[in-house]
Amino acid sequence: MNKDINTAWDKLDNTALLFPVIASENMTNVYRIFAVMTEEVDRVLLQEALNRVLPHFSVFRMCLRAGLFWYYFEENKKTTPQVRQEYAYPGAYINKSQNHNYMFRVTYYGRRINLEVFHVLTDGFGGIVFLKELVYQYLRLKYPEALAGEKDRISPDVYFDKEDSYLKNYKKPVGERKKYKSSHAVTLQGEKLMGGAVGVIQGSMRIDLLKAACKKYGVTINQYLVGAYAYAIYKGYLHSRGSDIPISCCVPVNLRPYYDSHTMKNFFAMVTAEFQPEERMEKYSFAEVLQITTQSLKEQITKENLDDIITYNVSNEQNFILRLVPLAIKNIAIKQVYEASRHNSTTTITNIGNVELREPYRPFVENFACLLSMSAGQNMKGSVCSYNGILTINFSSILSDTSVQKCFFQTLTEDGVEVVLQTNEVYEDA
Amino acid sequence: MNYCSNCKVTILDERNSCPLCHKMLEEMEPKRADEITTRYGNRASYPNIRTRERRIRFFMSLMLFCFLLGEVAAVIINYIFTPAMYWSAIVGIALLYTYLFVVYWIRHDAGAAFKVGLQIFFTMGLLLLIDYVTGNHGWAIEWAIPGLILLGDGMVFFFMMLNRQNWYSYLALLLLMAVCSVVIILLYMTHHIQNLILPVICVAVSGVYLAATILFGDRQFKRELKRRFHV
Repeated sequence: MNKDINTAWDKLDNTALLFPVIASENMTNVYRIFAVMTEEVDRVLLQEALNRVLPHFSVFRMCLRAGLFWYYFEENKKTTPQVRQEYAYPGAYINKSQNHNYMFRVTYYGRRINLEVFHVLTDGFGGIVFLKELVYQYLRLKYPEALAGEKDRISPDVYFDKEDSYLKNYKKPVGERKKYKSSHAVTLQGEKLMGGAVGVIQGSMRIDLLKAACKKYGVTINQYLVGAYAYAIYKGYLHSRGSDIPISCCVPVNLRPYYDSHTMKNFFAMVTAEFQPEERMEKYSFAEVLQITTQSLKEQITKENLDDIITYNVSNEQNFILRLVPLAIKNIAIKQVYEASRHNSTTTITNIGNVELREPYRPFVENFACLLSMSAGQNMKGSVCSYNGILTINFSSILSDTSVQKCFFQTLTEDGVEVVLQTNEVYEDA
Repeated sequence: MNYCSNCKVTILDERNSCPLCHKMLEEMEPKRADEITTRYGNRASYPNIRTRERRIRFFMSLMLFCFLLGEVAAVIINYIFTPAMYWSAIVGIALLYTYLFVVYWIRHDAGAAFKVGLQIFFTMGLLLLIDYVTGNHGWAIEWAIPGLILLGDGMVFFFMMLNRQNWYSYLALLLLMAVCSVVIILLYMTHHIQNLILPVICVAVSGVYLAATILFGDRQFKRELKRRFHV
């Protein structure tokens, strides 16, 4: 970071360069991570907790500004953003000129604390670190007697590393650059929910039962969930018919474990689990689809392929001639490229992993989960998070039809997984 | 707590039908419901967002309706009482401008400096248009636009004082005002403007203001340029 006497500023990481250009009311690039408490949230204490935690996280204490050639972050000297009661659908647009110019918002409703982050700041890893510290601080304020032994400080396992790990792990391409060609994929379309609503269907399940189901097929939980999602699209959307184009599920991969990084900035890569159903007499079984998508993921989640993805993405940013193009022209070009690729993927499913809280705090928190906002061509997305032996998957969608979600959960229950559902009540009731 | 026997899932919402298959739900036994609550927790409710969205949309529609009504009334009054002059066209342009102005400020995501800069730019266009509609007397370019530049300078000063910590973020707007002042003087020199007083005042105010900012801003000014122009 370039630290001036008065104002610090920083460049955007490689992935973040895209988000300010494509973000709009309809494609917000905002994700939500939330924690459900055992008791109603106290707004005043939550605000105080945010006031105390935010100064430690410089990655979140930034505002976004436009330069002549690039967007950049500038230290935000304004007061902490106001904690408000939830007032919009999950993943609503974060306006750069409101919310004290912060690129995240903290809201609450009932027992739930929501952290919504514009992806330009950080990915799910950074989001969960921040939310955990916010929850810790909030609980220390809310239950001072029960947590009397806990000090008001950030957990010792938190790293404040802000390196651009893409640049650090970029290797100059040798020989011809690998090209990533993508073709059109199945797009989930249909009647949309009224009034621009975003529907949420949340399913919770026991991890031990899920592991038992995965064991039957010899796959990991992640591979199982991606396979079940692709199968649900095949069965619920394509009605078990063949297709000329594949079902393509984007799966973000956290790159930190592969490159020994602890950065708080974005550091992930997208791989795609593809399944192209052929026209044939017999319908595909779940086991068949799972095997195809698992193979597709295994081929892509290798160190070599992840190296290639980083090299491909960073080499464009490193091109000096491209860097000299004014931002206004870059914006037009990036938007065009992004629009052209809007039909190249069907959906996204992300797993931010298992959230672990320190022992004294656990009794006060019931659950952790996350939600993704919609993007161009993707009208439904899935997001997974685990806490305390329970895995929660949230399907956010702007479509009124719930056939895909139905097939997904039915596949799980048929495999002996107990599922408990809740929605945000935008779906029609009898 | 309810159960869908078709999907074989428990539903925490208080609803009659399954959100997945739309089958009527069965009420769960209290003992089983307690087990589920112990293991998975209670439902975490969501607010009713639709009402808020409807309110915003209603406000925008009401404003548009009132403006349309106002313009229709202006056209009728214009036709009946002063048919020789089409002043209702000016009312129409002004109403349309106000509506777009409100939509822009509510919907568009940009900082105040950018919004003010763009607003000044469009207001200049509007003034030129009204001048043209009313007989092209040249009052817009001679008086109104230089006045607007001075107003812009005043707004930059106001913003800088209001947000002293980040005063440098309004430099781009100040530079825009300086460029506009130079253009006005050039228009005088090329005899498109007859009156020298306002263009000179514009250049003097913008120039002195910019020079003072560079001089007193010193390192902050240079750093702002470094940030804005980093490659």
